[in-house]
Order: sequence, then structure tokens, then C-alpha cells
Amino acid sequence: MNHIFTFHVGNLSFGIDILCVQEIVRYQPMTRVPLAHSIVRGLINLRGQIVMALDMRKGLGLPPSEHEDQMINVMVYDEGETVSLLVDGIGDVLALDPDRFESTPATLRSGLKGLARSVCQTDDGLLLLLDAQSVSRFANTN
Amino acid sequence: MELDPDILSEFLAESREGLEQMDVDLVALENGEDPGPIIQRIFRCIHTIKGTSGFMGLDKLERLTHIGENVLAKVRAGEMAVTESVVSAQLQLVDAVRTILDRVESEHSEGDDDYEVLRLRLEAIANGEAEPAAVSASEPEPEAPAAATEAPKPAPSPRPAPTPEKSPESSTEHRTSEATVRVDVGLLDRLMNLVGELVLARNQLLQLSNSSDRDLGQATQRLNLVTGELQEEVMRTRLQPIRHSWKQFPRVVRDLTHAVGKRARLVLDGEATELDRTLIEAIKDPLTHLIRNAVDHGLETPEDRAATGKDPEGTLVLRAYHEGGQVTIEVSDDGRGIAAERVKEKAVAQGAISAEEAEKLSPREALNLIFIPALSTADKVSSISGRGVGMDVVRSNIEKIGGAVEITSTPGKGTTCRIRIPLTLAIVPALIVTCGAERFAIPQVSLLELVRVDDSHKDVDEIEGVMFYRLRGRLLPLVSLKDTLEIEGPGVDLARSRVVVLQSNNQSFGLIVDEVHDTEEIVVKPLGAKLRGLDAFAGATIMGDGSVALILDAPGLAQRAGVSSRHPHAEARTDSEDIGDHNAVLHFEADGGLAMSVALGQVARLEEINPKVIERVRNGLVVQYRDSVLRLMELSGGAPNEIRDLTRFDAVEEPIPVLVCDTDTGPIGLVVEKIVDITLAHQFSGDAQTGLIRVDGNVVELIDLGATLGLRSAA
Repeated sequence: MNHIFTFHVGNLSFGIDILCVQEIVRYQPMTRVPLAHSIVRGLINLRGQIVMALDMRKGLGLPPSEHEDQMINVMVYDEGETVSLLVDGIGDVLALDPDRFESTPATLRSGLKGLARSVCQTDDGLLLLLDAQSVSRFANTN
Repeated sequence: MELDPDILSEFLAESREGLEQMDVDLVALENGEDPGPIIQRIFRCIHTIKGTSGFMGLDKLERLTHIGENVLAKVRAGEMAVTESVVSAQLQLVDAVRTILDRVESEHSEGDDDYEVLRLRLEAIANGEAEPAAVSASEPEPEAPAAATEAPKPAPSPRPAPTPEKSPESSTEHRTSEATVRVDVGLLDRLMNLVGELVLARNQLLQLSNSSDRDLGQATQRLNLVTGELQEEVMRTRLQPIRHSWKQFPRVVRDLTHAVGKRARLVLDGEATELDRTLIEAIKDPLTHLIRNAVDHGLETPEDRAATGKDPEGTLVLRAYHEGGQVTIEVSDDGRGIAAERVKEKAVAQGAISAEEAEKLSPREALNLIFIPALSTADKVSSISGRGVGMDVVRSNIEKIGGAVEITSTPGKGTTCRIRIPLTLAIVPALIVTCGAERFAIPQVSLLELVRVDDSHKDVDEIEGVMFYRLRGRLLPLVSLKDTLEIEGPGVDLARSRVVVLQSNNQSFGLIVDEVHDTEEIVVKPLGAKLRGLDAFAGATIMGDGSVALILDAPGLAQRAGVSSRHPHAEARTDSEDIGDHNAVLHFEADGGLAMSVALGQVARLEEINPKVIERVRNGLVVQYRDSVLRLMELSGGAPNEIRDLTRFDAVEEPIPVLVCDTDTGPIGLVVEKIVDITLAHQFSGDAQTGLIRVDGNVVELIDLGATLGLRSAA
């Protein structure tokens, strides 16, 4: 069984292996980085460590959130650094059988296809599964 | 071979440290220092390695060190003299042990090499025999580093009487092992982070405790003090004595002098000088290079030295000391020195500079030509140096860590190379500025001065959207931080802005910011890999209130804004690229209100001169100007001429505008009626340097001062 941490952005549900997640932090004040790509929302001081926050909504082409200060930082490990994914809300930790993971449908929007490694059908609908490299791809291709 | 990784890494680290010390000790021994304590230390080191390797099943290592130990035992017991061959063999042993240790670390085996040659040699020495004849220079020793493959010396001959004077490096100040603990560097970095957090928490608590509660106030005060001290101490853990990077040098000098047939004594001074450990690592290679240079090029052969009345043994001094918040490291030799003229000739011959340029250089400037890439002053290439790669690498490595290097030399007396580097890169003083809602830190090293723009803006000129500030007569390109970083908000309001003058690659520019705050010591943290492409930022830091601020990078900003002359901005700015260069022209009114222009590059400064300070000399008028004499000239007939009418300014009260030009014979001040403006010249008629140009629909004459005055660097 794989333990998958879930969160949602807009009406999409995502899952990522719990071992990729460092911690969950409430919305933090951020320092904007001029000239950086628009999905880079800013820099957060995470107990003395400077962490870059990526705006998932922006990356998925969604309008800015109406409740910006209720967004949540999912801190994930990415190539030796910690990167924060700003998401609308967090869900559960699900124990899922890897056999249930399916490859991403070819008809998925190209942005999503690059992001999600595989998909999994759950009782609550389709879960898009990310892996550690997804975040890098997300940050690089956008 | 199954080895516990923890024990293994401990063993490797400890042994390597011991070997480093052995290098130093063996050379000291050979130099005739009191052998008692040194032999003890070497013996203990070899003995420990032998014991541990036996315990860990490293047989080869055990056998090898055992024989080495036998030799040392005899020396210790006084049965054997410390000869050059003993020391050489022991140094080879050190190298062999190092090689085996490297093998053990990377492959977990001792390798196939059995070091038969070295074993025989050590055994022969231990038995007091002459070295076996079979050991010849041609016999390869595959694994030993190049430095140790020198041909073994013939029969062990007692060293000529040991030099009586003790070198100043004192071998008594070694810390005892009980007083130190080995700590992982990563742990120190984490400690540093945590202390930073503690400082922030303390700051917040201090603000909260301003209430009336006295006990709380006292407790926070105490916390405040303790935190401050803790921060200082933790910072100090990052500092290391420079000794660590110097340990190898006695050995380097010994091996080199033997290889090139010279004699030299290395004097180490200021080994306890502390600096950041990352810097210690970074200066190791440049220092090694300088020392190699000093031995190979700097020092003469013993015969040559004796012929010129010098001590046949040369002296190399490696000195470190703190000075003005920086660390200075000097490498000096008492060798033949460098002749500035020879460097010039070489540079001209190799096309690095032109003959005219060479002529204008001061001896000091000429010496520093050796930092030009591919310039070597050695007449012949040796295996050690003389290939012309090196000094430029030394300089670029030093500059990379925010340092500077310069060279001074007296022909016949010696050469000194002086390196200045900051104490640490992790914590730098920086000026905090704001722009829009954002705060930025500007490292003090790139900061020249702060300027407030006069309300009337009379010192600001605008040329096609690019602004210049007349700073003491010099033209300073202005760069808006807001525009450069594309920060939203209202446009730049000069009256409410400040100008921060920055230095980047020998070019200065003014950065317009909204507000200037205090200077603070900031802890530099690198930006994540994803943001490293942004060259406008040198990193980020955490401010006192816990928020993150970006650190501005002056060269990056200059490049982005297009003011950097070396790397003009690629596109979209083609029309403003040449400002400060020959396309920008200065307009003025000459005598009688005649409109004239001159290429901006030909004018060094704009000054206003009080007529009262003008003095008369036999053939003209002069002013005392910046430690020299400024000759005043007038423009008549479209060319500068001496002023004939010496009473011309007697009745003038107003300051006189003057264009100052640097010429070969000193500065010249061109008296004009009025300085009008600076613009970009679009249309030249005739050639680009002189002729007529169009300005605002009028045609004015562009004069060329270069031809008539003999301008210095009429760029």
C-alpha cells in the first residue's frame, strides 16, 4: 500500500506520496520575487530556511483565489530543496494499492498531463497523482 | 571486506589529519628543528594508523606502516641520524598511505599495489644498509603522486650541519586532542539557522515586553544578552584558523625546491588568523599557485644568489593578518623580482596591449599586467609554471569570493603578492532600501555613496528616457530599480527618491530607490536552484522581523539595465546603448554664445570654477585642481587656444563653467559660456568624430578635442 497525501486546487484533486511531503504550513506572508516566472508567488521564511512558493492555481490556469489567506503551503522535497505548493485546501492521507494507479488519459489538458504521473479512481472521484519530479517539471515548463 | 562505515570514516578523517601533520613535521625535522617532540608526534601518528589498520584488517597498510615505524623507532632511539633519505622515504610513505586510504574510501579495498619498492627502501634504511641499487629512478611507482616520484637520493649522506636559527613557526601551539571535538559542518550550519530564528523570536519578544510587567522585562533583557552572545559564538564556529590551508605548503616548497635545484626556507606568519571555512577552501589553490610561482620564477638558483651576495637559501614568507575587517594574505619571496619593463615588453609582444598604452602605464600598473590571461613572463616553460595560465586564474578565483589581489616587486630584492579577502561571505554588511512595497539589501562592497536629488532636478539630464545625474561634474547613468525589476506602482518621482551610487566592473551607476534605511549585517542565503537564473539578485536574507528580503547584485542590475559597457543589453535598447560612449554629445555655448558640441567621451569632468581662485602664470591662467594644476584654455576659431587676455576674469563674479579634459601633459580646463545639455547625436555629417550634427533641428559644430589636445584615453 502507498500512503498518498491529497489536496485540492479549484475542483481538481491531487495526491502525492506522503514521503515527498515535508510539512503543511498555513498561509504565510511572502516576499515577491520580481522578474521571476509568474507562478513563483514569493519566498517564505520557514524557520530560517528560505522556501520558494509556487502558485498552483496560476500554474493550472485558474483565476486567483477569493480567499487568498486561506490557501495552504504544502512543503515538498524537490531535488534537495524544499518547495512550497500553494493549494486551496488539503484532504486526507489515503492508503492506496499501487495496482489501482492508471496512466494519465491522453485527452487530459497538456498542462495537467505534464504534472500528473498517473491517476487513480477513488470513491470521491479521480485523483491526479504527482511525484517528486512533477514539481520540478511544473516549475520548469511553466 | 565489511567495514563499519562510521568507524571507517572516523579512521579516514583521523589518519588524514595525522598525515597532514606528518608532512609538516617531516619537513621541520629536515630543517633541523629540535627532533625530540617531532619524532614523538610522527611516531604516534604512524603507530595509530598501524594499530587501527591491523584492527580493521587492512594488511597492506599495516605492513607498510610497520616498516616505517621501525625506521622511526631507530631515529627516536638515537641510533640513526635524520638524513635526507630518511625524510624522503618517510614522505613517500605518507603518500603511499594516503593513496591506500583513498582506495579504501572509494573501493573498500587496499588496491593491488604492493609498494614493494618503498618497502625495500624502508627496510634497507632500517637495517642501516645503503639503499638497494635496484631502486632506480626508472622504476615506476604507479600510485604515488608526482611530487614523490623524484629519484631517490644516492647513498644516505648526513645532511650538512642543520641551520641553527629556528624558523618562527612554532610547533608547540598544537591543541591537545582533548580540547577539541569533531563536529559535522552541516550541524554547524543548522545551528546557525536556529540561532537566527532565536534572534527573531527574541526581537518579537522585546517588542511585546515593552509593557509594564517588570519581571517579564528583566527576563527578556537577560534573554536578549544571552542570545546576542550565543549568536556571536555560533558565528565563530564557522571560522577556522588559516593554518588548515597552510599545512601542505612546507611540503610543497620542499618538493619544489628539490625538483628545480633551489634552496628555500618557508616562514609562516599569522597561522592563527581566522576566517570562514569556505574561504579557507577557496584560497587554497590560488595560494598554492603563488607559492609555486615564487619558487620557480621568483627565487634564483643558489649559485646566482651567492653571486649577488645573497644568502644561497631563499626565503619565502607566507603572512596573514586581519586588517580593516578583512583578511590580508601575503606571499613574498626575496628572489630576483619582476622588472616592470619586461612585463610591458611581453604584453606588447603578445598583443595584450598596444605600445602607446604600455608607455602610459606606471610601473605598478605594468606589474599588474601579469594578471592578463595567457601572459607569462617566464622565458622557458617548465613543468611547474610558465605556461601563462595561472595568474589570471588566481585573480578570477580571488575576485569570485569578493577579494582583490595585487603585486608589488623590487627588481633584485623580491616580489610580494597581496591578497585581500572578506572575513566571511555568510554575513555581510548591507544597506536596506525600499522600492514600492518591497525591501532589498545592497551589499556594502558595491556601494559607493548616497545622493539626494535636488528638488529642482538641475543636476539631472534626460536623454531619450535614459537619465543622467551630474555628480560633481561627472555623468552618472541613472537606473530606476522600479523599472529594472518591473515592479508595479507609480512612476519614478525623482523629488521623493534617493540615488544609491553603485560600483560594478569598474563602472558606477546611480540606482533610484524610494527610500534608504539603515545598514544591517545580513546573513546571505542562496536562492533556490529554480531562481538562480535571475542575475539581478545575489541571494536572499531574513530580516529582523522575519520577512525575506532579496539581495541585489550590482553587476547583474547594471547588465539588466543596459549600463554595463562590457555586456551591452542585447535587444530593445539599441537606441540608448551608446550613452556614455562616443554617440553622446555635450552641447555648450562657447565665447560669444556660439553653439558647439563635443563628444562626451572626450570630456572627463564638468566643473564650475570660482574666478577668485584663478592664478596668473607667465603664459596663461591656471587653477589649483585636485593636487595638480589645471591650465585654462578658451575656444577660439573652433579649437582650444591659450588664453591671451589675462585680465579676462578680473571683473567676473559668477562661477565659470569649465570642461575638464585629461591630456598627456595634465588636465586642461576649457572655459565656456554655458553648458547646455547632453544628447544623443543621431546624424553626423562628415565623419563621426568631427563635423556638423543636427540638434533639435539646428546644426551645430562638433569639435574634436582629441586631435588638438592629445587626449589621454580619448575613448
